[in-house]
Amino acid sequence: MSVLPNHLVATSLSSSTSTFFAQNSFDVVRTQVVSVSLKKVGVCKCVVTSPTDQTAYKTQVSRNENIAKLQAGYLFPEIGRRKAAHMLKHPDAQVISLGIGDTTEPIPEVITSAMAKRALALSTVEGYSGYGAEQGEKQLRARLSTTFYANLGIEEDDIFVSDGAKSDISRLQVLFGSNVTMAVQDPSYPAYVDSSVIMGQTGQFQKDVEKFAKIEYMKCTPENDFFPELSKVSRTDIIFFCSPNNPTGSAASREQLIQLVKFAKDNGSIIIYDSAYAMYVSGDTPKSIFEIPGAKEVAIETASFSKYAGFTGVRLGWTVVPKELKYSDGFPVAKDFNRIVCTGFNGASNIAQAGGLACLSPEGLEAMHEVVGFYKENTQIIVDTFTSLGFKVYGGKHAPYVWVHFPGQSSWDVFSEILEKTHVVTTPGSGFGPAGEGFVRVSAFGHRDNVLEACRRFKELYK
Amino acid sequence: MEKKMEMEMEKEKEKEKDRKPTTEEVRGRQMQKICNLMRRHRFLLVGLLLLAIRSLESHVLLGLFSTENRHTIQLLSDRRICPERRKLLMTFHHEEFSSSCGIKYAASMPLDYCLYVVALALNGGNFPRLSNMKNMYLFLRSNGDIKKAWKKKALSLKFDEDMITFCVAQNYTKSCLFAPLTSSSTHNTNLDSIMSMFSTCNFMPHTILSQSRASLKTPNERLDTVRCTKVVRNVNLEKLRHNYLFPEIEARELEHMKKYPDANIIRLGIGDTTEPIPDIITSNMAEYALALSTRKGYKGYGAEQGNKALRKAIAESFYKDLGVKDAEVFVSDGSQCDISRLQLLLGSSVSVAVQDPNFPAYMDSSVIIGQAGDFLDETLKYKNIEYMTCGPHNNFFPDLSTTSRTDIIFFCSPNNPTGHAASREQLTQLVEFARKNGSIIVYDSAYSVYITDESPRSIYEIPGARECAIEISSFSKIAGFTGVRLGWTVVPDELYYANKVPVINDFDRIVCTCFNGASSIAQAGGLACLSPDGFKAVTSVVDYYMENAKILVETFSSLGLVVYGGVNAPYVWVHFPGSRSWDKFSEILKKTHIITVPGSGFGPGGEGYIRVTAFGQRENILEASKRLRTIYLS
Repeated sequence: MSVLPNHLVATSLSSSTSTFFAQNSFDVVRTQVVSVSLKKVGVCKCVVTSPTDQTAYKTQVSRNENIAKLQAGYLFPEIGRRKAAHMLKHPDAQVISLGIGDTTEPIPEVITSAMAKRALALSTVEGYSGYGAEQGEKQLRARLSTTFYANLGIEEDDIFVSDGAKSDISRLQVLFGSNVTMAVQDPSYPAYVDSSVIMGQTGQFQKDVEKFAKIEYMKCTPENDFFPELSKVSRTDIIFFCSPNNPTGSAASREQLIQLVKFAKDNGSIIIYDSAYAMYVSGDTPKSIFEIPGAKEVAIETASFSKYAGFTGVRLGWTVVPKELKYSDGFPVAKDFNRIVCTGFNGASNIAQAGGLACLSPEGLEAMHEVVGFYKENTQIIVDTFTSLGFKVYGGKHAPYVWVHFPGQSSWDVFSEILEKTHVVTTPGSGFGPAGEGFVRVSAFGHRDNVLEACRRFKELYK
Repeated sequence: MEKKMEMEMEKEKEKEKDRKPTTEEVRGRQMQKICNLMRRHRFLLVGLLLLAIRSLESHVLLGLFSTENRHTIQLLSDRRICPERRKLLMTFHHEEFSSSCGIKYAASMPLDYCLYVVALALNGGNFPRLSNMKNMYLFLRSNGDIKKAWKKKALSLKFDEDMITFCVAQNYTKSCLFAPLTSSSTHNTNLDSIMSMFSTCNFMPHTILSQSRASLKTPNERLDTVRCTKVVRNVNLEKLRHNYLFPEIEARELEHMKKYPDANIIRLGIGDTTEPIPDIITSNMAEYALALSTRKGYKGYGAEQGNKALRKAIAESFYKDLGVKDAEVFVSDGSQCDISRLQLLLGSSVSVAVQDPNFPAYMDSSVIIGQAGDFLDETLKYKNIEYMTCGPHNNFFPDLSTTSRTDIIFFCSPNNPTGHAASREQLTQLVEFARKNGSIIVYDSAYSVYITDESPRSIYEIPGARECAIEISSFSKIAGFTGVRLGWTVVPDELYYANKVPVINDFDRIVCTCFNGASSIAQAGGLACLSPDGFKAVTSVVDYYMENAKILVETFSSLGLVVYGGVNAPYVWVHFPGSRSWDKFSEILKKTHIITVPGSGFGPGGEGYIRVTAFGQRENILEASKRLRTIYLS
């Protein structure tokens, strides 16, 4: 996960080394040609005897100023780095990761065997297939529409299969461009804000409030039942809304979503509804924004197989862009999105798509529900643990995330303390936005014995 | 601009009132206006509302549609149209065309003027000079076919280069405006080709049609219920020219199949691999997939940059001795996706150069991110993009002395579509040029394993390239992974922005924020490709395709044609001097039932060429060769 070593030191060293190698690798026949140009490069290189900034070659290309606006690293790689550092410091500790929301349970066999079969078939003349449709295989799109959107009027050609929700979020940003304004829940999954910054929709990061200028942060806290007070929210073009929410674990009720759709309609906004955890929802709480009447005219929905079937590594998701959704001039958003998908993407892996299709078979669905049920049990164990320790605990009902309140404390401090004393990796709430300060997210993705062990350690720490 | 035109139009009208010009003068002036419009914009569809001719008697609405405008409806009010009808037309506009093309200009026009426009269009893609207008008119009048079609109210036009499709319904009825557009007309209005025009990637082929039918039944209601958000469409996407190349080829194939239902069509068009993936690779992927069902073998999120072992294997297999480190290799789900991510990395303020002809994804992604200006019809090029012409006259390498400095230089070698691999000398020049200008080269080496001579397989074989070049590559054409999806990008440590920030840092951030790693199963396959046995197996597939290429080169050469490529790339670039690519495409299809790709689809520099792909089964290639040898092409 952590990739980049310190460059400045390594750079000048390796650049001269590379030239050295390159010289050696030249073809003898062509020496004549090469030596001419080499001379120039060589001279340039000779100067670089001491690795100082002044002599190092740099291009004249300006750095993308939007990327310069981004803060520190992307949250999860940052946690990965801290975890790695901790493991280095305590090589014998049994570190349990309840931090990054990564699935741990094996994929049901009915699904992997379908993928294996598809992979093997690629070695046969009949079973081989090259480029697939950028929008995904027809059969999978059809099955998605009937499985998740039966009676909601979402048709197969409204569905775009992808390599996951995160990639689709950035493609949606490219779709809307840099001139739109956007709102996010605070706290929220960092990819929305970061991709928006990269796209140039925001101003600079304001250190005092820990927010980017030109983004509307919709505070979601226990005080407002984790649903923004819309009367105080300014109009934006785009509203990112994730429910069941990562990180707070709360799922918006039908009534709340009706308000949200009305708000979007009144403002002429587009909701990007992230329903990656919809299968964790129980009861009457909506699983899709399209359960709300009129949502097709104002909403896009992104979803994923990652948390249903343990596809975090296999990579498969989808995005629904209804035909009814239109720009101010009447142009259908789906048409532009299709263009983006065709230009900037080439379809999800056909093997992963075969897996997705198996997921949606009756046996596959049953198996997925089993996996989801398992993680929900984990969730309950974690909720019970923290509750018994006297903490205020949120989420955990419709989502595999438990949002634990540490009033008055800094999230990163709590994160560090837990890591230091229990060797359990969690996620600091403030990493999801300023309103997450004072919270820690505990993920329920883990083997049962690990979850039990982690809870035992929590009990020891906070007894 | 629209307002300006409207004003001009009004002024015009006032003047007309004042001095009562002759009918001929009025017509001439209005025609001139249309022609100016047409020249300024690249119209897709001209004179569509001829559909309404009948009900409006001698007056019709003439709609001009362009891809570039802002989708507003401008219907000049025509008192002769009853309000009900106008509403209907507006609905029709809105539903049918403002959504796909947008309406630039609509004016009330007598029937004859529509005929002028048709004549203009008939002249063949290049809009004719005004001085020819009279001749045009005569030409049209004398054209028996058109007259006949016109009388039958069925007229269809199709163009190669500019994709002008023009159609008039045969049996226009009040209840259903668009329905009669089926193939019952004498000129065989091709529904598919019309649809391919309206939807870029024919993903919603018939929805527009059925929608309009539904809406036209109850136009008023429909008008009221159409709901739009207030979100303004991305201007960059409006600039983007529809890329009709592959949809149009598909449409022509369909048309051909209708005409010759028994013909055995051979597809040497789209560069898609056809040969099965060697067992050793798929069995590794299957094994990996099955292991995901075990507690031991299960893995969740991988590193966004790709699995360590694979990054190492790529560095060792393709960049041995070139100093590329594992950490500089970013594994991806394919080059096309990485090109887009590189565009996100670079942002909208950089300037870009591309080879002409080239693979359309570079330019399209540039336009989408906002680096390009408007598309210019005169040159068939986007503003603010530097086109580096590559043809036989310069040994398929741009004349760098006349190339302006840009921040980014996209360079694909071996090249798609020309099949030319740049020599060491050429690439040395390119690196020198980039260093002199402080530019970054984005080098696409997706076909490097097809190189058979001494041409460099990586830009990093050139000294100094690590400080000025990014390389993108892919397993697609190495191992038939077009559907499995796996590629990589190399960003060297030594590559710096002007402010000394290492480019790799930012690219890493992009990859972590906008991507979540390639499918772990595909990565297992990639690793298997790079094992000694795996590499041997995929190399034999590459050799197989190159044998195909050789057969194709020999075939076209034996016909007396000049052929490029096919030596270091699976593409054969056949020259037809003085001919138009689409004409040759049609001729070959008609005479041999072989699908190729017209070179002009890759940029103005490809005009006069045909690209033939060597991806195909041997028996098909041999059959194609046999057919080609029996015909005469010039």
